Amino acid sequence: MMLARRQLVPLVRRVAPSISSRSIASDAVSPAQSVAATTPTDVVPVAVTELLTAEVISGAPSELRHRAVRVYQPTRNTMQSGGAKGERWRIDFDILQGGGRWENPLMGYASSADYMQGARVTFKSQEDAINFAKQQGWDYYVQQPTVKRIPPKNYSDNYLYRPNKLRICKTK
Amino acid sequence: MLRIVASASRPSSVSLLSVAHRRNLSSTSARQADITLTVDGKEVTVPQGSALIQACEAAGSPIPRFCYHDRLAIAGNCRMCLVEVARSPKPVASCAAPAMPGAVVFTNTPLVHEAREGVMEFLLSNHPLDCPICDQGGECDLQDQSIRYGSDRTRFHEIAGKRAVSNKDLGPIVKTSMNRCIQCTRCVRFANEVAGVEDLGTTGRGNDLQIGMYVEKMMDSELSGNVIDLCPVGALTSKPYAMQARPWELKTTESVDVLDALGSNIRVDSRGVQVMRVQPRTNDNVNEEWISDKTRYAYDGLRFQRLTTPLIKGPDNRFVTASWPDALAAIAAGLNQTGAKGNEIKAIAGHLADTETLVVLKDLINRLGSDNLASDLEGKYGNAPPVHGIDVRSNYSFNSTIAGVESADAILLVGTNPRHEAAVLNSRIRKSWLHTDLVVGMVGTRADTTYGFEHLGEDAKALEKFLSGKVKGEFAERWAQAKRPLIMVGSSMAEHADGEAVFGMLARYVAATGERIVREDWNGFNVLQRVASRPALYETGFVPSRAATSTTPKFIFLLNADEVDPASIPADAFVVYQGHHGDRGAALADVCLPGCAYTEKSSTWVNTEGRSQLGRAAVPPPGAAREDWKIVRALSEVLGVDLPYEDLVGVRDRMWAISPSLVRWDGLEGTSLEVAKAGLGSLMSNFYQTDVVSRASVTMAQCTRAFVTREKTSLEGLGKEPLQAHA
Amino acid sequence: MLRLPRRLPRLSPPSSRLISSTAPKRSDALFIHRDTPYNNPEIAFKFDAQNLKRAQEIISHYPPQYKKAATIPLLDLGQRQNKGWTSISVMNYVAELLEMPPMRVYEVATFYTMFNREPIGTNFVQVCTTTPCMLRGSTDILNTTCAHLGGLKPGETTKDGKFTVIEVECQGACSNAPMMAVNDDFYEDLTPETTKKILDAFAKGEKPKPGPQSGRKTSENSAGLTALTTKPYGPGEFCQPEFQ
Repeated sequence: MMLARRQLVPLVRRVAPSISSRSIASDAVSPAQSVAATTPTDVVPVAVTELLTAEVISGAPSELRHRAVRVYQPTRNTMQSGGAKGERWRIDFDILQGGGRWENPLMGYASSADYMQGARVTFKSQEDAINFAKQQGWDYYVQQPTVKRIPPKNYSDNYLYRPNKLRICKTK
Repeated sequence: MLRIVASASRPSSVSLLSVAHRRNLSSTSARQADITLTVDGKEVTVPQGSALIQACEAAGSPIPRFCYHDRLAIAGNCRMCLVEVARSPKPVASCAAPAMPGAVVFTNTPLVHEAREGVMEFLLSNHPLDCPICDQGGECDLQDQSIRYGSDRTRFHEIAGKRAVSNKDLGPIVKTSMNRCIQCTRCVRFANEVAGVEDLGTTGRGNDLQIGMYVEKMMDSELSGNVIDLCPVGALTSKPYAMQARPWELKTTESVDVLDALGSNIRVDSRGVQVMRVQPRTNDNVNEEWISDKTRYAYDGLRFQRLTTPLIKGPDNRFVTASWPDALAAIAAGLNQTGAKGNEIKAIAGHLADTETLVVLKDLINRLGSDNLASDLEGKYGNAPPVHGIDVRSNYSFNSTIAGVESADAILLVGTNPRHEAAVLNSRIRKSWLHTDLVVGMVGTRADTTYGFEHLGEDAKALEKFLSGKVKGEFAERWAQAKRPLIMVGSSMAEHADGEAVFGMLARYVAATGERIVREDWNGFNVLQRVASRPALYETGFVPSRAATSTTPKFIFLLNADEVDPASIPADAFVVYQGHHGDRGAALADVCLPGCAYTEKSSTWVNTEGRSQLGRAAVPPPGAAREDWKIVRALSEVLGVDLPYEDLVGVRDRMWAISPSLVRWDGLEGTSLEVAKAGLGSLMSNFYQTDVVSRASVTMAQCTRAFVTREKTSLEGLGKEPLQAHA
Repeated sequence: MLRLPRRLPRLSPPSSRLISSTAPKRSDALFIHRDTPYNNPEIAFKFDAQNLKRAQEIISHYPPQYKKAATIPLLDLGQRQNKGWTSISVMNYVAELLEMPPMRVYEVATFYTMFNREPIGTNFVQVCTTTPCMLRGSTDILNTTCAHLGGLKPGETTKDGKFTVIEVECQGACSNAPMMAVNDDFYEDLTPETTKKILDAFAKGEKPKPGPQSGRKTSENSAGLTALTTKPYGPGEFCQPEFQ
């Protein structure tokens, strides 16, 4: 799923006419948007210095702004050898303390009052993910992936002559 | 490293020809470090001596495999990785074939497909069709690869039926279902090479080949759980996790392990409010791909003996549940009542205290006018400043870094048994010992490491004798010539009567040898911490002042301190315990405050090399338990000494002020070069039970019975009873 | 190689076979060790002085760090000393002698079928039933052997412990088929009568003359030579006088 919007400028361009035409509730319009809205034409690229974050108009609860997200590359499952989807980046939320989740006492179903606990957004690259978090106005923390260091391996290493006492008795 | 070179940057065939033209007999071209070959039409350059499968991977062509594993020796027995090589009459097993310069390899041709389908058909002919009841289902290599290469029907109609193999008892951790085995021998190679228990092997031949120990024996290794990950099918699965969950039901959270000081990277898999299992995360700087059994299986301890509500000890010495305001008020009242002033207020930090809370607690205690910040080191040692000093970070850190151990050519172990204190690090030493000429010497109680070592003596005298060069022998000779000698001192030395002498001796030796042990590119002086909180403790300066050492405390705050000596706590003192398990510490307390375990909070952990890593909350804490630093922060308000931060960002700013490296997660700061000062037995007698979590764990109790006390009990059926959440 | 008796599953047409009733296919022999009163690690085993000397001689053929190369000859030596079978103690002793993990020796001992991991009788009768011998009537030989020894099944030992009979795969004496090997000797060109005679001789503690039992010396044509019938040339015959 590619959700990141690559360009910032088109976002502004797209938002600006919608405000004028659809008349979104005025309390959702920030000063930054007013500036964008008063721009004479949306064909001229606007050099946006201040990022317009989506939360201003998305109607997302303000609590979201206080929750940091983590941007990371999920590690491959060590149970499996396949490497597919290994290059993807992910954004997800830290869970809420207390009351965030509980088990239904009758059925044992897991319930949650935390609407972001299952939210995971997958991106093709780190930049996309960071960009998305920025646009959403979320605090984010980037966890750098680790570098895998596998030396060259060779079948013939199993049969190398060792002049000194053997330290391992090789087997299949 | 493997590198992909864009084909545009490669010389064309014309220039290759011209090179050939230039070459004459007298100037044989030098042995090149890299070779170039073509995989699926893409040119790729890999180091000489790489396996073909590595070259294919580098070219971005995935190769299915069962027996090949990056961190094990190559066996070449599953034949799943067949590829087509130009001018080769038959498909080639890419793991066992070396990458040859100029080879033209195809991984996606009809020939390759047919070959792999044939291999898959043979593998499946004896594999039971029990995926619906197999624990590997959903994360099974055989399942994955049979989607692509498997046939939905079989041509194999042997009247005699499928092969049947008896299950083996490998102990309380590994559940076996040997009918499913495809004989990839990954487990055998892991046990042989990495874990160093050479008991696992293959018996029989042909269709009757089976994996086992031949004699009835359990797999006595701290790393045995890793064979479960390695097994590409469901032959080896996890006993405690058996029939508990499916991988697609689980929420994965990438976190850090705290049950030893290595800071192994883990992935906590949870369902609802329960941690269902713990898996390793690959990090070549720390744990490669392995984690110890304690890390992997102590999680069931998180469900038992938990403190879920604040408790206040009533007049009849029984705990009564209380609300948070009442409990905090009771603490304030207790502090007033004892009249504790200055250093009489004492805080003791235990094994599982996280860095944020240590910082907040230190600030609180300091604001109350006290410097009495002790830790639960063995005996009386926690009450005094540590013998190695904490002013210079290299005095208590693993300076060579964990990955750096592999470059050492001589290792001197002093009073430590890495096999128990840092099982994964021990496997690195074994790896190095197997592949290089590494020699290991040991001063201290003789232990069963998984590599050969020369025992130099039991006590500080033996160490002195060795350091003064009076010992003759192979190790002494090699040590004298070593380019990268490494001294590894156990953290138990800081809790030993001779500790001061040992550290002094080593510091003088390191200083006397000049550039040999500590220099710009090599710091061979290491202290191996065994407790997750200690490096952070020293980093944040959570140690008592000299003056505080002699004060008798009247008010004691135990932060996760469960290893504390009850005798060291005066009977009339008011004791507060904050932690997550009702263990020794809680028993001593007047007020208990329920905190979070490591899977329930997002906190910073510093490992033995000084690498700070960010753990992550996977599940919410049980009941009324709260995040630890918040509890201390709330307490500060009740005690009338407000701390100046209100959220996690504020706490981390404060940590930045104390030591920036604490919040530079995953990075590793170099330590300064100076070492200011720096029977020796390991204090760890039972690897499986070292802290509250592992003591509360059923699996760890079974491991203790199986491997430590060696009780003769049948392990069949154990670990299968359903576990109750927060019993 | 079929060594121990295998219960043949009932043959049934595939159409009636259900998925739920797939017959398990069991191994011919156990490939794990189970402690028994006669075979457990507590029973001591050591080479006697003569064998130890021989073992050291064998070990000396290999580089000192590759002593493990002597595993098979030493196991054989141990099997000979241990009344023809390789007990767990023999394997452990070999492992100790060669300084290798016992499991590595178990792997070898279970791989090669000529290491008997269960006790055998004094005379170990191995009847070849591979194709050439079968075409020449090895089924009769096997049946005769079993019947003559009191109705044994292949893989069983007589009650008096004198004979163990097994079927084996090709022993490489096809030109003298059918054949059987008793202990280390080949008895070839067998007929049911000669088989009985050989077994009777062994039962009495004698050792009949090994080799073809049909009067042939080796594997020459039983109907008489058709080639090379003339006197072979002597040295120098037909040469120039100066070379004679």
